Amino acid sequence: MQSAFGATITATVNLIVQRSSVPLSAREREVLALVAAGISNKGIARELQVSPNTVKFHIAAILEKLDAATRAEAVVAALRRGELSL
Amino acid sequence: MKPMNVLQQWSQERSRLAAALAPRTVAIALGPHRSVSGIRWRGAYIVTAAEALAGSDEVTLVSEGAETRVPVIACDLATDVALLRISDDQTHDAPIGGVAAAVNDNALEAGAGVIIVGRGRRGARVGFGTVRVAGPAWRSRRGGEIAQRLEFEAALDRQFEGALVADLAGVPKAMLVPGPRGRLLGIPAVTVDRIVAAVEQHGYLPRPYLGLRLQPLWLDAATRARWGRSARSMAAVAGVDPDSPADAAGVAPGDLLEAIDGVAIDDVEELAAQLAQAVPGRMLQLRLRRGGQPQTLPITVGESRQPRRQGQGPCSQRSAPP
Repeated sequence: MQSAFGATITATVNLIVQRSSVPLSAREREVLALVAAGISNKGIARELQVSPNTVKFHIAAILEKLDAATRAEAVVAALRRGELSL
Repeated sequence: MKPMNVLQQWSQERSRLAAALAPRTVAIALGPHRSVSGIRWRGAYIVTAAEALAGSDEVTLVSEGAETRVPVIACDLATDVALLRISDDQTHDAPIGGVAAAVNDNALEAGAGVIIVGRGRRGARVGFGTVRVAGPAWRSRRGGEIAQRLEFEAALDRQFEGALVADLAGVPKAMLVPGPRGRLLGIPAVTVDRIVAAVEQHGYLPRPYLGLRLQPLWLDAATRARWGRSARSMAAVAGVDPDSPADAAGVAPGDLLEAIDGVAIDDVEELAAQLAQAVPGRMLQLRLRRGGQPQTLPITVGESRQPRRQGQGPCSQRSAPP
């Protein structure tokens, strides 16, 4: 039988695995690919025909999902996870 | 007239050096209280630190009280090099020849003295320092391949970001950029010149592209020994973009990437760094393992789709959005 301690560890591990594997949405991948190409917020908004605030919103979600502090970090993290192509 | 003593001569030599290099620098105003330096590299191109620009499409050059708006042409966050282009009528007062001639000279050595020349709204800013670290080539955290590790010891303020670092013969050697923990790093002239040359050739900075999505695959010791690999992971192909160079070359999901043009690739960042130096249109040899068997596929480097419309900046902002 599993101890309570073991159960806690299992739950924690599951949580970490879950957190680190939230996939980006198709739109988020699209935004990140443009970020990776060095396009500014304004440029991304124009390209996707959305408002700059929507772009900001997507980028905030991307940073959160990839646990990244900067855009450059997010690009590297997404490359490593196979979410962006080279 | 009384002959100058050695200290006066030393001092005079220093100001001469500063005066000779000052015309190569420009001041770039980023806000009412913030400016950085730029270097007139050659022709119509001015080089500065990409991080400092924070996603601007255009910046203001300040010269003798006059302000000019100039476009940001290229922005490579991986090497922290950004390029501005001044109009042709502004290039006449630029130093002839540019910095390119110096890039093949000897690299800086630790302990050597350097002069660092930048420019603020009030004119040239000059500092002297020492090369603290002169190491081998390195790769930035963002996958930029940088020809030499350069760290300086000098007392400088933020307006020196993007300033010109030259040896004491006045030969330009690097661009000054801020590093982590207050370090002063130098982006070697060779690395800056690689970006400038690419922009000169194409009018913008092309981004080489293969169309590969990769994920790390962890190898056990037995497999590593069997395949003669020392790295603990390999880059596994997780996907191939349709109609991409990788697709045309016949790369398939599940292939394990071993090397590109003879350079071993252990992870996606290494591929990114190698790819960043590749020229679109060039053919590379992609060595991989499929079903455990080694295989080599020729692949032609493509170029990633880059929407470029009027007024659109090539830089992405560095900071997290609010």
